[in-house]
Amino acid sequence: MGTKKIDTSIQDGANLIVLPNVSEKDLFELLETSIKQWLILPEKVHAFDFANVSMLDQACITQLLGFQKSLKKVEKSHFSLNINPNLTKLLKEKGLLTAFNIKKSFEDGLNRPSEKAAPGQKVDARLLKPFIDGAANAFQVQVGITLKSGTPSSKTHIFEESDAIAGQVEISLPNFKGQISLCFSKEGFIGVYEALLGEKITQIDEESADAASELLNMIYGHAKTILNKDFGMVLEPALPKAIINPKPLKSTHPVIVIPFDSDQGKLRIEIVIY
Amino acid sequence: MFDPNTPVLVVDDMKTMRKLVIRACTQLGFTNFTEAGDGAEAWSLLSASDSKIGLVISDWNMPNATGLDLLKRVRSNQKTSALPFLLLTAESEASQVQTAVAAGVDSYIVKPFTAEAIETKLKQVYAKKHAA
Repeated sequence: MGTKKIDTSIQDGANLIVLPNVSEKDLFELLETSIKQWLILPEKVHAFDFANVSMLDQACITQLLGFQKSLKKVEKSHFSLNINPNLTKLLKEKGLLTAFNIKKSFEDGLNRPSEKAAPGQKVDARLLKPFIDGAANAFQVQVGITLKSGTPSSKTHIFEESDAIAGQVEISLPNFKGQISLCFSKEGFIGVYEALLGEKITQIDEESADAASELLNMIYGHAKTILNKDFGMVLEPALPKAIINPKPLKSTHPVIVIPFDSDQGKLRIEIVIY
Repeated sequence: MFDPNTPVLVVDDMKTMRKLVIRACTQLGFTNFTEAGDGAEAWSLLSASDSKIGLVISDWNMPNATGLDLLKRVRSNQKTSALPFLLLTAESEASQVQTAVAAGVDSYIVKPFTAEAIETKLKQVYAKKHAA
């Protein structure tokens, strides 16, 4: 009896999805929940391991084909591993062997350098746009500051030494977890706080710190609405928190960075999905 | 429009947001504010026998009791059921709006907001309450 969850991990820059040994009905439900979340991942390659799957019904095949189509739309790719002879026969009969892109091994599937994700490479702008737009809108309307966004990139750690405060929201779904942070230097935050509330501060304390959480809350709320509506995701409301003097932390998953510049200095949104 | 002396209850777990709402409402002429950090604290203020609160502006997403929980309690209590109630939310998904309307919200304000946006909503709520 298999576990009723889909194990995923990031391996060599690809999202490795190990499909479990469960009934086709359970697999359908698991895929329904998970597929929407995999689309937000920065990884450009998704590998399906079918070693535990004896057969697929039409509903599961349709879901997987839908996911493959969605990946293609955002210029991402996938491949399949360990498909047993019976399932291979079925896919062949249905003319789906090409669609499932069956590879002999994980390494074989990754043997296309242009599809391999790595820290530092460009990330999918369409999925980041709701965050960029949300930040621009929140700062323009609530703070009265115009933000200029820079080019998104990825790195291997969360936070920077120069960060004095960060608002952070945790996302947790059955097959998908992540953190979104809004990071400020001390001078940058003090400038934003004064513009936001018209109050002068010289230090960041717990009371003033929640401005970082609230601004992130507005950004996340905007992005969540767009991602759920236009990308079929199922992000839930989440309570943001403020972290004073966050220390850089190494991340085992790529951290997407969206930099912004403003009259009050620089700030960043950092997104990590695991 | 509401009498500027109407006691306004501002509910949000974040002090910054309470300050922003109070600042915007002050620009609109309101002078009398009470603050609560979550729905539970707000309900204890509203259900007090000497409560004079005449308008509630509450965040939706809060720990303990959410704005929606508070709204449901307000609407189900005879003493408070007619209180003008506005929800503040960072999200504008149709399903959320429908949920709030079904629970009896008078209007909702999407963050980020301006004082003008609050004024527009308050005028709508006042007109609706006094047309009834």
